Amino acid sequence: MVATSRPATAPSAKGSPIAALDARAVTALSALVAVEHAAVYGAASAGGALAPLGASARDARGLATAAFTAHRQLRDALTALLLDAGAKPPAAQPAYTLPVSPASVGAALTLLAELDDRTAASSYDAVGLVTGKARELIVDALAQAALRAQRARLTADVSPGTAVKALPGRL
Amino acid sequence: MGGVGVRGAPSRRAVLALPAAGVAAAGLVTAAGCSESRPAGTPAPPPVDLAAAQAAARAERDLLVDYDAAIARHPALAALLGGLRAHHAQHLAALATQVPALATATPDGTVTSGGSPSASAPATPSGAATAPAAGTSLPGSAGPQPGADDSPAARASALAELATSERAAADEHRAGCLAATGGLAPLLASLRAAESCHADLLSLAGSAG
Repeated sequence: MVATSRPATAPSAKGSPIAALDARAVTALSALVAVEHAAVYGAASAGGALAPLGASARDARGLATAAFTAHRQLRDALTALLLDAGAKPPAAQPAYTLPVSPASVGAALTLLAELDDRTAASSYDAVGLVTGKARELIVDALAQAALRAQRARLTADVSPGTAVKALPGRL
Repeated sequence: MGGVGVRGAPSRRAVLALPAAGVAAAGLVTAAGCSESRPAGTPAPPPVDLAAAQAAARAERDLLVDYDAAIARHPALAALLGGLRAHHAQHLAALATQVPALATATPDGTVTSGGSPSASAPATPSGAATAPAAGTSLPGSAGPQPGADDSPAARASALAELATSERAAADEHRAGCLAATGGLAPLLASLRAAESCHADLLSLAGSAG
């Protein structure tokens, strides 16, 4: 159905119930979309930097590719969620300042881990503000982001004591 | 906006003050921007949150027991497993801080709000959460328990069993997160992610031999 100017409260034509999103939920989900736009950009940058680095960068390239796909899927799912609720999801910026320049395999892995740390933190902030399918989406997004960040750090030979977080997304 | 402000959710800053929570919760919570006054008459948590927190705490205590047993059988794994065990002690403390009613309402447990979560792990009465690897009643040497199978195959099997337990706990936390109110859901989502990550690390360690 076409989104109206009011938050959707009518039953969804697709059959899955869309919980109405209050203002705080829209704000938190929009923040997460913005984080995912940046993560898609950053993961693509990491993958591009790793592309010419040969066999020694194979594992890191695989992580970058998986991260790109996962961040794009989460961005699209959240965008659809917001549109279905009658909200206006944020668009991507033309470019982003990366927290780490992926100039080496190690730096690219650090970048991937930091992008996923941000996804985890933003998911933590949003998960309590939504219910139903939206909460399922975000609780799983948090776990998957934490897993990717941990894999990236372990692949970069960070010690398990540092790579494994006690409370992902929270601290 | 770490805590979402729904009934007793601690902000990130309040969480940082965890060890002192039992003593100075009033000042710390106020300083962290929470307008509720909790400590004197802590309101009862919503029943769904109490049930989810109890299930989560039970899962964490079970994991502590599993880790203690594995560390006792396989001292060579103590460095790896001790760090993960400490996370579970931290998880129990976070649950007890956010849902103080756990301390009195848990029928089968001994979670103490704000206290040492290790006290609820029967196998380590001394309970040093920061150095759990050292403690497990092995006088003198770092050898395995007499009679225990500490072969590489047995170690791999122990890691696989712990990974299975972690995944079960992750499923428990996920279900709790979906059932809980917005106040408790973030912590349970984080615990779910943590156990999934533990399971992944244990599986990697097991397959690496």
